[in-house]
Amino acid sequence: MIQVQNVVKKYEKDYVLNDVSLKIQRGSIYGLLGSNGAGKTTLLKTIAGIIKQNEGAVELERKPVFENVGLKERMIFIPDSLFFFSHYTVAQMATFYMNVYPNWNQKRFDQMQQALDLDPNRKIQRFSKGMQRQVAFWLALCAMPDYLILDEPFDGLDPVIRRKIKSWIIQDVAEREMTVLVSSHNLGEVEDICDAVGIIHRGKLMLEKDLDELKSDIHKVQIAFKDEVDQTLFEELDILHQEKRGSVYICIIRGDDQEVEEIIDQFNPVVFDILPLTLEEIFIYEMEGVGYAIENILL
Amino acid sequence: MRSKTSYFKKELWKQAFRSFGWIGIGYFLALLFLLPLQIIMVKTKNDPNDINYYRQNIDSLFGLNGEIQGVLFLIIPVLAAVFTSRYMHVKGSADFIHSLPLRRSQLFAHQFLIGYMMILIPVCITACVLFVLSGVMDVEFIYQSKDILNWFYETLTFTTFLYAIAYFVGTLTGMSVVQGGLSFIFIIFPAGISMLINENLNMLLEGFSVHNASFFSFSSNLTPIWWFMELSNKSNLEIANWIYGIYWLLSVIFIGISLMLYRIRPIESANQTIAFPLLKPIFKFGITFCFMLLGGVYFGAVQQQSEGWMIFGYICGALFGYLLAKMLIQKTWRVFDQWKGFMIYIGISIVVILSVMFDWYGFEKNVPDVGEVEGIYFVEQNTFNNWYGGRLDQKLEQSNITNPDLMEKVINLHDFILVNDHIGQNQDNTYMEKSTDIEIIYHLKNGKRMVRQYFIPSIDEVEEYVKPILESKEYKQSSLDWLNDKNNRIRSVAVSGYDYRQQVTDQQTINKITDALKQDYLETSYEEMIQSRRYGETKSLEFELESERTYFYHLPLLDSYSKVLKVLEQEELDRGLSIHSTDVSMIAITNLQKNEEIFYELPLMEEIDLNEWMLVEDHEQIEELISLNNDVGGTWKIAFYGPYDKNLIDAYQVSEDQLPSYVTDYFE
Repeated sequence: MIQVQNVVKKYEKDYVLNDVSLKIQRGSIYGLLGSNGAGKTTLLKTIAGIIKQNEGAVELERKPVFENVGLKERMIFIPDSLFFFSHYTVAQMATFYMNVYPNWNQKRFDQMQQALDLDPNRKIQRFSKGMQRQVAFWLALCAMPDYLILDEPFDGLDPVIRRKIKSWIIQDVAEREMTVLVSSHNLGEVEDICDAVGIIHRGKLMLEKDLDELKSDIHKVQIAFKDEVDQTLFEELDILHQEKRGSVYICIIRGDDQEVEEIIDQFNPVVFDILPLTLEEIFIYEMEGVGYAIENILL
Repeated sequence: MRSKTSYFKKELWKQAFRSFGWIGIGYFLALLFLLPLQIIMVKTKNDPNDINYYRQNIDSLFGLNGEIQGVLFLIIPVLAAVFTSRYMHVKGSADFIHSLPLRRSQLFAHQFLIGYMMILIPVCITACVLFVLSGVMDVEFIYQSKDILNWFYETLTFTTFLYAIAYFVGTLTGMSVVQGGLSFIFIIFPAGISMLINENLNMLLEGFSVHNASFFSFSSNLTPIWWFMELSNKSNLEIANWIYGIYWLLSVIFIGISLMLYRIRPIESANQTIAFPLLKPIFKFGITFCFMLLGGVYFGAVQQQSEGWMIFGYICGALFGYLLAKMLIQKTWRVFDQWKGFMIYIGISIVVILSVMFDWYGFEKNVPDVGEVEGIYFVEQNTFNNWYGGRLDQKLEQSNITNPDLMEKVINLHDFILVNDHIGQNQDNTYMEKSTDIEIIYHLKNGKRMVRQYFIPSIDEVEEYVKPILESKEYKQSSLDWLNDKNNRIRSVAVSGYDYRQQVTDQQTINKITDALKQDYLETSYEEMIQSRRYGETKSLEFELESERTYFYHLPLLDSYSKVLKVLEQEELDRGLSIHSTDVSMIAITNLQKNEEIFYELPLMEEIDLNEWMLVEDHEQIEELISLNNDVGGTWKIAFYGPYDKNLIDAYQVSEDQLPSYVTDYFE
């Protein structure tokens, strides 16, 4: 379990992280969303124990992560721009990982090599960007981490490789209860694998949601009445967004679907449909609720 | 399955060696070529001249290609430190390395030691090779086992120190270039800053002497560059053991501070000029301060220490330093928007500088009473007896004037200098013929020391005060204390005339000469003392003192030293001391200063302007003119030329009233 409590990080006088708290359950995949410069990378590096927060606590399994070798042995951080020692081959890099990470699994390394069809004796810097990304995951997963922290891992990758990498991650999460923290500036990129997401904006965590809960919790409703409807209906519902087209109301409503249905039924609607919402729509309406236009935060 | 983890990670060593092992290998090859190979080359050539040269001139292994060794000592440690700290200066690698399951102290130990190996192992192997070499061939004429040990120890002391400093700088900064530059600045910093402060105080304060700030003279000892130059230049330099101790101690301190800093170093500061935000203002105003002092010194020196120009220099220097520091920190040249810090700095600086300029601390006007003074060490820089008088620092504790009457004279002189504005001012000190520096060190009864130094534009202006001091027995004896010190043994005396030099090693003769000299010297007149320094003397005595290091003292042999001259005559050492008319074929006379410079070329010149020169070849006139020399001087210059190709034998100055009428008539 990863637990971040009231973390503050300043670069000189600028607050990069301002009182950020979040919690990631074991065996789950958490998506950290935010635009460029929102503080995603800083938060990830703090959780990875690379940089130290000015205030607050970053704990893994209730132990502070900074300078904690025991925890770091079970955690791998893959940065957005990959780093390999210069002129190193995959095999040399693997030897390095083997020396540093005690849980290194050589058998898995050999198995994955066959699946990947990459030459481990080639210098990594000669590989293409997509191949380098695969090498990074190859090395990372063979270290058998319990925590995998990924900064923009899918950026600029083609869909085939993207799907491949996602399947690797999901496999390890399912098999070994690996905990994954993945950052992205694009919701659509991670919504299919995440169990929970958080939105960070200007160093503050705006919102943190469990996706399943979110999906069952917010509804898009289309209703129409014969006559002018009593306004008490809208007062009784927790409405995030409301618009009217002709006599048809389109409402985004928060709440249990059965309760919502019961309330609306009392007013005898002529038309009453509950429509599916994309995750993106949910966020747009949620953020509107807190006074932000999500388009400005996430693209 | 968990494999066993150990503190030292083999792969980290391998990785480091792969990326900068070349430093160690290169260093080793360089040392191999500079030392063992050089020795083998000399040995196989087996030229007796060479071997003799090495036997006589090379006392330590620094004598072999010393300059290149010195350059290596400066470059290799800094290079090693820059490359070993690079992992924290490059963003990607800083993030990667610090995400690994390694404690910071562990990483530090790895990186520091890997770099240190680069400077340690090559020296070790070279020392071994040298040792083996001395076993298989006869190299005693160059070195012995003891020399290897010394070389090894000295080399390691300085390279370790430099490496520690460069590594320390590496933890402070986030850029390799800055680390390299700043390391070298650190190395010269102690000497540089003390020089700047001394120079500035010297220009601002009338009477300031470098001996006012003896702390700063110590700081040059802590400037390794100085030692490197000494090591490679002087073959028999002996550096005190405690200095080595200080270097090792400082190395350990710097390494300790580096580790402490590294443990709290913000990793995100890779690529930034200064890694710790707290240090930025120190860096900024440190640079501003240094450049301010430099600006003041520069404009003060160029504009004859005019105070207006110095202030201009301070402001310009500070402005330049401030902007430079901001540019370095922000890594852009467009830094012209924030001025608050600079304004505060300039405000404080102006108050400090003005307080020194207007002497709010009473430094300039302070003259002690005779009653307060225990003794005085008085130095007049321009008389011959002070020229080779040894280092003044060693004499700061002594007094050479303790007689109350004389002390009063010194204090009167001090008062006189202060009252007369144009004397003693350090401004406008262009040295003229009779200019001199006077340094007064008061030893006060309360145990304190007060040092003042004044520039005297012309010694004639203070003659009435200086004459009795200089002529006093006390002063004379102390200024040639080596001669009067009974513990000193004089190994040899060399007597030089205008074309002959003889050396005496016979102790009896030496004693005769020194006894005579002691008496003659005490009778030297003030005029002779201040005069004889100014013109090159024909006759001189050179004493070689026997001590741990060899000292030579050089004294002019004045015509008035009748007792010495008599001894020399008796001992038949007077050859070439005086010029006989038979030795001279021509005399040239001129009264123009500029012509002094062409004495040598004169016989070779095709055309001689006879309006400026009088040439005398008449035997009787020559004899008359030779007798004019009396060591006192004047505005007329007389040059003597010998019979062979009219070579210049000697030249001296006389005053106009000494000249016979046919000379003055000639020029009218």
